[in-house]
Parts: sequence; C-alpha cells; structure tokens
Amino acid sequence: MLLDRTGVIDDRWSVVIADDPTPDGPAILPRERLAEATGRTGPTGLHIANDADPHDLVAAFDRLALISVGFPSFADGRGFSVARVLRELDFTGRLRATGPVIADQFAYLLECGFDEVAVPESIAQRQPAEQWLEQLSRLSTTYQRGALAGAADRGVERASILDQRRGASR
Amino acid sequence: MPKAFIPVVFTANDLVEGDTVYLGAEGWIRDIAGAHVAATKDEAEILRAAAEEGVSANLVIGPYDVAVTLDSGSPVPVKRRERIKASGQTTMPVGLAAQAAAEEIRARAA
Amino acid sequence: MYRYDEFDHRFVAERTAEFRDQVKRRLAGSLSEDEFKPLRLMNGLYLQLHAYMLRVAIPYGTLGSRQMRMLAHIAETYDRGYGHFTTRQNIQFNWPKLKDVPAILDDLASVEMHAIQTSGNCIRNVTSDPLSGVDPLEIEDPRITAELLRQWSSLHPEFTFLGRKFKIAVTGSATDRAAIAVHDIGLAIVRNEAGEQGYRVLVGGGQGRSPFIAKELRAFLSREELLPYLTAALRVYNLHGRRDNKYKARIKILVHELGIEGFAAQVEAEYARLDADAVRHPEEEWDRIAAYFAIPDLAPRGDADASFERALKLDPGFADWVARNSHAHKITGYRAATVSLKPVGGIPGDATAEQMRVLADIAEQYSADEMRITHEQNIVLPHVGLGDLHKVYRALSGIGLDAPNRGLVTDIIACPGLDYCALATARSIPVAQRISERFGDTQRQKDIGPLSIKISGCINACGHHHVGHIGILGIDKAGVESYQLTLGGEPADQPAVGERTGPGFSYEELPDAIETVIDTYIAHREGPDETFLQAYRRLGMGPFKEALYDAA
Repeated sequence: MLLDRTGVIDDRWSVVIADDPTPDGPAILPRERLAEATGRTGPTGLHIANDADPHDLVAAFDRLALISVGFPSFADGRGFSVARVLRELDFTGRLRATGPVIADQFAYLLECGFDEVAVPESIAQRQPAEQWLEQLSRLSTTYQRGALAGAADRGVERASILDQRRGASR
Repeated sequence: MPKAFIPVVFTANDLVEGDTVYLGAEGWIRDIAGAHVAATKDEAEILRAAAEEGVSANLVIGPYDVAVTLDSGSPVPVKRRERIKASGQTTMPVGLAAQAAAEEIRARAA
Repeated sequence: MYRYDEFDHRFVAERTAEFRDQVKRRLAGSLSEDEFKPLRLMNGLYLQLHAYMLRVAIPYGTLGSRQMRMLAHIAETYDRGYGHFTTRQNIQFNWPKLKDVPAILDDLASVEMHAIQTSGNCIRNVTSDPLSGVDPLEIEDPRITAELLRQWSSLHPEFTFLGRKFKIAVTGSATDRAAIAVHDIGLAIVRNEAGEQGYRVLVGGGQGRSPFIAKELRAFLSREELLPYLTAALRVYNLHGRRDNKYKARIKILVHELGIEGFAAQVEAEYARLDADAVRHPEEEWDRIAAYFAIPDLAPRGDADASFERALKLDPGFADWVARNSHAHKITGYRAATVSLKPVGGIPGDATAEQMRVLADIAEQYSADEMRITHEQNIVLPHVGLGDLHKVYRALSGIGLDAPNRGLVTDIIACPGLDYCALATARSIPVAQRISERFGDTQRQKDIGPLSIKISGCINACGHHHVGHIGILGIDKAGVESYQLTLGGEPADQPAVGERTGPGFSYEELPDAIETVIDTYIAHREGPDETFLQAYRRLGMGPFKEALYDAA
C-alpha cells in the first residue's frame, strides 16, 4: 500500500531489484546502481538503506526525482534522521519511506520530510488507510520548532506550541 | 540415557488485565494448581501450540513454559522467579503489611 | 511550579486520546503486540512479572499537593493502595489493568500530569536537583532548563524511535545532587569567564551492564545553543549508535567506540550544518517558564525561632531529624526537609495512599504546596519555616515517615527486583529490608556516618549499585540468588564506579557480609570524621577483602 497525506495513491514507480534490467518510465534503482541515473529516459528514483550517508548523494540530487529510504523495522528510527538531513541538504524531490512502518508513526514521518510511505500488505491489512489518516489529525500541535522548508506547502506543518505562544503574547 | 524430561506448565499474562495466567484444561486460568502439566516433550509441544493460539486470539501475551515438580499432584515451579510469579511478591509495604496483619488478627478473633 | 497553559492541556489530552485508541486497536488486533509494545512503553506502561506497571512522570521530581492526592486516588482506585517512587524521580503503580490505563491517564491529565516517555527508546523524563530553587549556592534553578527540555523532547518526530533509551539530567548548583555523570547527557549550569550563564555538557555516562562515567563534550554551551546543540548530538546518536545489539545501543558505547574527541567532532560538524535559528527556543519562552519557578511568596521570618529551639532541646528524635534531614534554604528562617521513605525494615521508595494524602496535607500547610521526589527515592518538602518544622516532624511520625536517616546506612536505594520485575534475577527489596533492620538503631547509624548502600536485582543496575559506596548486585547462580559486593562507587563527588570485592554471598550470608565491611571501616578509619568513602579511597580494597574472605 502506498500512502500520502491524502490517503492511498497509485504507485507509478517500478522498483528495480539487484541486477534486474531497468524498465523505461519511472524506476527506483538500488543504491549501487546510482550511476545509471545519468542518461535514463523517464524519472529516476533511488532506494537507500537507513545507514547510507545522505551527504554522498548531494551531487546526484538533480538527477533524482525520488529517494526511497528503507525501514527494516518500524522500531529502527534512523530513517527519520536520514529524511531530515536529506531535506536540510535541500533535496526537493519526493521522499518515500519503504518498509513495515506503522500508522502511529505517520505524522512523524511526514514531519521529518517524507511525502509518502510504502508499507507491506501485512501491515495494510491490519492498518487500513483510515487509521493512517486518523493518526494525522490526532495530534494537532507539537512542541518542536524548525518545521522544514516547504512543510506548509506539503500540508504537514503542525503549529509549534512555542511559536503559537509567541504569537499569543504579542 | 536421554535426559529425563522435566514436566512443564505454560504461563502468560492476560492481555486486558495483565494478571498471571496458566494454561489449564479449559483455557487460561489464574491458579497454577489447575494448570495442565505436560509430562513429555510431545505433550509440551501440544501445549505450546495451544498457548500460541492464545496470542493469536489476543487473549494473552508472552507465553512460555515453566519447569515444575509435582507436590501431591499440584505443580510447583522449580525456579524462585516462577514461584514468586505463581504466589505473589514476597514482601509488602509496611503500612499495608501492618494493615493486613491487623485484619488477620481481627478475623481470627471473630 | 510549572503550570499547564491551554497548549500543554491540549497536547496531553490529545496524547491520552491517542493511547485510548491504540488500546482499542490492540484489542481489535489492528496493532500486534510487537507494534503495541513500544507505543505503550512510550506511555509508561510495562508488562512486569505479575501484572502491567504504569510509570507516571513527575517532571524533574516536582509536584504539588493536588497532584499527590491524585496519585493516592489512583493507587486506591486502580491499584492496590500504594505506589513506588523511583530513582528517576517518578512513581510506579504495580497493578494497573490495561483497560483502566486510559482512564488513569485522564485522571493524571486533570492535574497536569502524564506518563509520556517514562519508558521506551526515546528521551526520558528529564531529572534534576531535588533542592532546586532552595540551595543558597545555586547558580540558576535547573528546572527551567528541564522544563524546556521536557517540552522539546515530547513526541519529537525525529527522536522517538532511538536505538535505546536516552536520559538527561540537569544540575544548577556546585553540589551535584542529580548524578549527571551517570546520564546519557548531563548538563551543569555554569558561568563562563564573561559571566554568562550556560552549560557544561557531559555525555556518555551510564550504568547498566557496562558502567561509564560521562565525559565532557563541551566546556561551555550558551543557553541559546541548547536545543540546536542537543538536536545535533541526538542526531549523531540516532544515525550512528549501534542497533545490532541491545546491550551496546546506548550512547555511552558510541562515545566509547569513537572516543570523546571523535564523537565531539561529529556533533560539532552536525551542529555547524543544521539550521540552529529554526530550532532554538524563543527568549520569551525561557522567560515564561522561568516565571513559574520563582521562589514562592514565603512569609518573612526571623533567622531564629524560639519554639524551634525549644523543640530541639525537648525532643531528641526531632533534633536528630533536623540535623540529618534538613537543608539550608535561600530564604532566612526556612529549611528544606527530606522525608525519608526508608523506615527501618520498610520497602525503599514505597508509599501508601494514606501516606501520600498526609504528605499532600503537610505540603499544602507547611511547604508552599510543593514536594520534590529525589533520586534517592525520598521526598523533599522544599519550603518549611523553622517554627513549623516540629509540627511537620510530628505529622510525619504519625505516618511512620520520620526516620532521621538521610544519607545514612539505612537510606538504601533498591530496585523492585524479583518480587515485581520481569527482568530481575534476584530479590532486592527483602535484602534492603534485612540490612535496614540490622542497622536500624539510630545511634549506630550516626556512628557509622554517611554511607550509601545501593541494590540492583540484575545486571541492568536500576538500583544504581555501581555508584553505591557499598553496591550490591543480585544474580542467579544455578538457581540460587547470589549477591556480589562492590565498594567505593560514587555518583557525584568525584564520580566513580565501585570495585568488586570478590565472590558473591548468599541471601542468608549477605547482612553479615555488609556488617563485616562496615566493621572493617570502623576499625580502620582515622576518626569519626573520616567517612566510609574517604576511608575506602585511602585504604583501597585490601583490608575489606581480607576481612570478607580470609577469615573463613
């Protein structure tokens, strides 16, 4: 199941595994095959593990329309920081969280810079899209400041309590 | 000679209440005295499967087997940890212990 | 004391509603136990040996009487009439039912309390000095910083699924009563040469199976830099801390493996990159929080009080208690008083609902409505007038909490141990009780002088045994409880990890072994003024080892 903040969306990307041939059209390549991004026709994405260093990808940002960050388990939170750093490095393409993350993490994922999550069917069966969207509306405020640039455009910016207080006292 | 099988019962905690439970003939029960004792490895595997069903059915969490000895037919855990799990903590807050002692004296007098 | 505004109220209410929904989804099978477990832990709910356990946050240990009364209410309504105050300045209830927990969280929210992040692999309840705002030598009340951090760390989107738990402690005084050197991050409020207030930052301290004393990460960090700098440190930990082995996942291992210089370089690099302006707290927010921690309006009093002096002369028990359990106060005519939750033979840190209610009444009447939980599992009444001290003492006597033993041999820290804890390998509480009974005589305790005994019922070291002057670690040795002794540990004053004496002792032998250690100290000390720790540091392990093992 592929979801963004509006609910289930169509997945137009094909995921290329290992040495498989790359199809035309939107394709997500494994990290080792980044070099193939040059000269492809059709949008290119890249799948990285959560221990990849985002700084290594900066030079390739303009060739990548999407980066998918792997979550081996919902409890392994490295991907949150990876996404945050990618956004702070000005990656403006689409960010996808791929793996068994859970509905209860949806707001955190979006706030760290992800646009969409691709979860396995085993999770989708137990946690349909409604549960994911409900989670988004459940917590209306956050104590943290420093929402990412563009967060408001992506509709994921929850107002910081600290900033709301500041506004209220003026 | 193969090592003798030590009889086991299965314990877990009730999902909703948290209480210690044991797998008995009629399902999950609070008192170890009624726990189903597996005397062989095969019986233990059957009980383990039944215990896992309790997990799938969202009845219990964290089932595992507990080695027991039989004291006039009733299972008694071998390990101290499991004896404490079966019979409650060995100590009480002073205020409550005093209260309990006083109640016991009153009950005996009555 | 900090008070919730509309935003804090809404935040906690929404969080409680979220947990209620998670419980519902768990029971319906939408969340598996593996998925639910970290979610419930981040709301303070464990599964222990006999039952669930709910750990309620008492931020930096500070609470008022209406909050204490609510804890008493919860103990009676949803539990078995008592609670357990912990070394993290929190309280644990040992017998709640999952189905009742949302209602308990509602009750807590009604008095501005919660159980958020008292467990789980996230930033835990920030701890601090129980004498905050009271100590005359304090540079700044550390609770302002602790509250700022509480808010910043609550449901942080980036740092809520860390490799392991993360504990921060803050002290604002030259005397460290928050044990900052055994925390993941320790903050000491300091002044630099220019006279500006900021922080000395320590990192990588911890206990558990591999104890480490924290190292200095920054000699001076200005207040404005606090949140951005911690963001950088947490990010380095989140990205690079080990995930392959639960027992090597704390930041102390990362710091150890990279070396403090290597770790510091990574933090500084990340700090230089991130957008500090976006993350730092607004100055108005600091001022807003600080206003809550101003010293309460205390009626002016003289520096002497005739009734106090009279009571000291007439009531020797009171004189002992004042000498041992009271502390200097910033305001003339006031003292802070430690209520010992270590009655002789009692369970360290336990209080019954009745005791909680009386404590609330005492605090309301005599201590500006305020209490503090200490990491030694005691309670401080921070603002007691000299003329009221005897009334407070008598009220405490009425509930059995008048022990004049703060910092003495019976002021024992103990984890719940095998009697409650699913991880424990040996009992702790009955061990503490037997030692307490052995040394219960007030005069004997005074003769022995300052001495901390700390007991853990397993290698995870929740009872802080590594930093006990005498540490006791209970393990399981082929089905039998065995207790290892360590000597010379200390959490604050030249922090040190204790050294093992040698082979362990059985449950039955242990009180005698402790007595042997103490008798050896008494026999070798240079005089009554040389404390156990000083004597141990002078003598080393030799005479203790000899007395424990050679006689046999």
